[in-house]
Amino acid sequence: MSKKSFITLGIESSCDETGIGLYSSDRGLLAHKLFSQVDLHAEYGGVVPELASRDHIQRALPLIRETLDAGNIELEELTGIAYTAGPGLSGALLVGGSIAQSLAWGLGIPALGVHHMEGHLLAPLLGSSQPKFPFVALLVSGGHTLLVEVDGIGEYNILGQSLDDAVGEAFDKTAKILGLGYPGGPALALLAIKGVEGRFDFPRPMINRPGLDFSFSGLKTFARNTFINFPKEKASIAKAFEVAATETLMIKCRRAIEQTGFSTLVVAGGVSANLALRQTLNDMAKKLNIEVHYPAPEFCTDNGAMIALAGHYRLLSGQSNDHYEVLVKPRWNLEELEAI
Amino acid sequence: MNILAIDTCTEVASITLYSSDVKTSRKVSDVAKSSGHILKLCDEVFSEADTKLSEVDFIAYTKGPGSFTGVRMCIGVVQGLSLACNIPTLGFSTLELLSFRASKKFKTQKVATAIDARMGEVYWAVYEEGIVKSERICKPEQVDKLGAEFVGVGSGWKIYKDSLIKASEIKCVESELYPESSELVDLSILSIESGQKPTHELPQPTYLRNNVAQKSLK
Repeated sequence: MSKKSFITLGIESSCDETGIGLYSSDRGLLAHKLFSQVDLHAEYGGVVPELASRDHIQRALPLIRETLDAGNIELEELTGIAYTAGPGLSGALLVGGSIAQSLAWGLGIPALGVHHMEGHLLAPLLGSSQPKFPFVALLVSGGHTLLVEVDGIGEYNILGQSLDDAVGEAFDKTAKILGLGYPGGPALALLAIKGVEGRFDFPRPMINRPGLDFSFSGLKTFARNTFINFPKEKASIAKAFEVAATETLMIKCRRAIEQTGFSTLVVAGGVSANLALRQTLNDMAKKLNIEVHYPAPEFCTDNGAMIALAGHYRLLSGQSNDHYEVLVKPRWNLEELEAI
Repeated sequence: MNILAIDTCTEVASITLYSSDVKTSRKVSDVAKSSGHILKLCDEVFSEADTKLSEVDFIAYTKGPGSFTGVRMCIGVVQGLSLACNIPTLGFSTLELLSFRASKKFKTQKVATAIDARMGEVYWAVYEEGIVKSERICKPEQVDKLGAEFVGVGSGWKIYKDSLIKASEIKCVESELYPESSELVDLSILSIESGQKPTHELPQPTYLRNNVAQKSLK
């Protein structure tokens, strides 16, 4: 008789992306689908929480059906459902939570709210080259900048975080200053390719202080002031900003590696798709003789596959929400998670 | 006929299972804190009625207007339950349900419903002879002029009592009346009898307030 396969459906709706994933214990990721609301929010210059929630409730269920079809899985084959319970936008999280819990209750299978950032830091495990515990994780996105010591699933120790803007937020805000629209982080990175390296020298915030915390809002202000004085040099300003941000991240990663003595670095979150950051970290890894892992590009941004994966491990360990409670935690410290 | 009725759109959330001509209900009054427990209530009514979700013929639900979060909680739960057992659904306006409840309670065919919509506005509807009309969001001063033969119900009549009475010319008012799922069962049976059919289309919310964000100047 063949061993029972456990199949977890994952639902991500913490911000402006509706993501659905299907993860199987014996076949890995079966399918995933994503709908990005970027165009919806672009004309508002940022994510409008109420509009995000309104869109999630329209998209989630059709995407679940599409993902099941793509994975060739029947509803009855699901053994558990995971959803992003936080951190994130309260109303948006509730959409994923209410659908996940009611679907699970109706199917008679367990459901669990998982931590969005745990999804991100485990995302490289969706690939073929999987990092081994323990490792240092750099989580960089529009909402977060975290350096985490990861000893196992749920064994997290935050080494450092941003005291103000997240690095992705700083990219987007600087892009807005340069007139690159919203969200302009990727456009800024593209423009930076045309910039002259060394034309401007931006500060590397907080590198002269001990510790592993970050601060990016000053860098954004520096970019604004430079742009006022040199309005025709957008590309070189973009270059100087990107170099300063990525080098700052690299310097803190190097410190974290030295402090922990670990030989593996995992980089995840939307900003981990930035090629200049990858090049800088790859160069550092080569010098330090350590491994560096990134998720596949499609799993750098928010997605349902990483939630299915993180939920899968936890559901298999026996965790689930009591009484199918639609529980969301808009603020949720990664260190509060239980080890499995 | 087995019907599951769910309403979480206003201050009071409730769920009713109608099975073998018997209604089994649960109600919670502090929706903001307790709507997350809606599936626990589901569990209780099904256990008490010794019925399964798969035996439900259709799900009746309120689609709003009301608290945005409450509306989406209701829609999300109904979407999930409907998908789990391929159950068709039938949605009703919160204003229609409250009007229906009031018409039975006060034995009248003329009801004006005003639910507090915050920001100085109400969700407004006029119910006459079983038909809901004039459903909209507006300022209390802008509601329909109706007259003393109407009964005013809903939370709006508590907060904007003077303005609503002045504009509508209604004299009999009951603000402490909320939509309830047990009445939703009756309303849905009446609708079915008059030819409405539950559907497999995606359950949709009704917000009425659609101007929720300002566009960037740039």
